Amino acid sequence: MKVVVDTNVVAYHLLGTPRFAAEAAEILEAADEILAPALWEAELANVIWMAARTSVLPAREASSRLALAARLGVQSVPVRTLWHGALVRSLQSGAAVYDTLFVELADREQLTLATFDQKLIRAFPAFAKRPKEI
Amino acid sequence: MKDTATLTIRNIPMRIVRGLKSLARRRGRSMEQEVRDLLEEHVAERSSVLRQIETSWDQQSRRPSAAEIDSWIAAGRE
Repeated sequence: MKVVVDTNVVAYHLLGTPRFAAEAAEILEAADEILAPALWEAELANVIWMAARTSVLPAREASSRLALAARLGVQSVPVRTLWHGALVRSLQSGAAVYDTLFVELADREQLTLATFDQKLIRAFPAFAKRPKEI
Repeated sequence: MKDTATLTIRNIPMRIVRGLKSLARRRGRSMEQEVRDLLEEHVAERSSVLRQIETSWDQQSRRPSAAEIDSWIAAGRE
């Protein structure tokens, strides 16, 4: 199975979010190939930074956690190849380009987007689904 | 049985070697360690990485909620 993942799927597992981490692990484990717009890297690094800032994660652990995420094998797709399509979707839907980049990638590759974002699932039901529903 | 091996890789472009040296210098590590980590990064079984992540949760003071993580993702966008 090949799938596009939202940053929240990786982040919930990376920090062990109660009630969601196991579901995230299942999709990450089941997928042969995982894709995401390159934006996911900055978003995830920001999550790790905030986790360290709020003392959830010791600062000394932040880099190692990011290194573990890098080893998940998520293929980063350059944003530049997606931004026109994402912009059109945002203009039509009102959803932020940050979100429609993921939808655009799923549509382009004819894949499902795994996300925990309920607003995104409601706005793009043909592409976006909760991991347990894939 | 020994669980490591020695690899000899020929014809690596100089620009790659320079990039590796620079990366290793910035991280304060040897170039050999840098190459080992890069290879590991590319071929490690995902399930083993997922288990390592799960073990690493013990290092945290707590496990943040979904709402908290959503706000951290959004924080970079404001």
